[in-house]
Amino acid sequence: MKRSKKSPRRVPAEEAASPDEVMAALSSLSPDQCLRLERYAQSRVGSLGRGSLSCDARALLCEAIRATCEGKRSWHKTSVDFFGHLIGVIRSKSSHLHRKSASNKTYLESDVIGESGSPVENSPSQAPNQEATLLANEAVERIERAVGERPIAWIVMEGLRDGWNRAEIIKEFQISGTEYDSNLRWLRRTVPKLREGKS
Amino acid sequence: MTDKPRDYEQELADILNALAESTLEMSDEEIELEIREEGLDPQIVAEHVREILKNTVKSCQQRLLIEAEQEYEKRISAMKGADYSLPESPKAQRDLITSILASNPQLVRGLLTAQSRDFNSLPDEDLPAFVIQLMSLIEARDIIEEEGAPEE
Repeated sequence: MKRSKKSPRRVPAEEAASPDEVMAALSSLSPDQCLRLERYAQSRVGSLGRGSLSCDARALLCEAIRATCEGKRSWHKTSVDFFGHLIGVIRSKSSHLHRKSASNKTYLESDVIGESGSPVENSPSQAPNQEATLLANEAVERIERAVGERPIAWIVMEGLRDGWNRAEIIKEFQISGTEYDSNLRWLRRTVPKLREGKS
Repeated sequence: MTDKPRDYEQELADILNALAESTLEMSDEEIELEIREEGLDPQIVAEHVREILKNTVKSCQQRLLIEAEQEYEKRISAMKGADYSLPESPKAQRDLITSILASNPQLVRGLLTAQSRDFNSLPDEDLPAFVIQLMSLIEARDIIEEEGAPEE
């Protein structure tokens, strides 16, 4: 899936959804959309590794809603549906957290949850250091070693890294949809463990 | 030509972000399967997600309401603290209200609630607060006319 270019965040007040409209939109989300939101938040938090301490998928989802209701990330209801809006906020909040937690400092809960009670906004900001680089180096090597033993999984991972979508990967590498799905499932289950040094 | 050193942190982030983004392309069935593989019931997970999101909206609404109430209380206190000289008798207070409204028809049209417009039904004990509110409104309007509306 190709992502659209960044659009300005500022939404005219009259076009921004009110908390009541947000509540109505929440009620109209389908169970499948709720599951997808949870999975997406889970994956985004999982990609943060140790930087995600004290910010789990639930915190990320709540933060996306809070930012929407408080007007920090208003929902421009005429240009994007509510589900798409939440996905965008989760993506942006987790990227923000990733940038702030790029090093390997051990966090205390009190470091992360500040006055606003938002673990996402209050995470400490740090510069990358050698230990973080070393850990990333080891993690990438573990992932490449394990994924390298499964050629189709390797193809899927590389395709996704290059920004290709499912259809493009299937077509380009002439694999079946089932092969793609089962290998993606394996990657999604295995890579986070490899990253943490588990197998 | 020298090889550019690998940026492992960026590579790791790219891999994990790519896998996270793949969530958006998965079929509903694949997502349900993944959740079941974790030993969870998709229906319960979906309800739980909706519930925590709704609770967050409710707490935001509550906070906004409390803030609005605090702001209202602050304004009322400021109004009460303002130094207005009011006539003492209820009749004189009603006359003053009539006179203020007669010379400021826009207050009747735009600013006052229907209940306030029917000020004749106000009990005597509410009259002083109503007069003060009217005076504060006029004062605020005069300031805006003089200095322009405050920026949001």
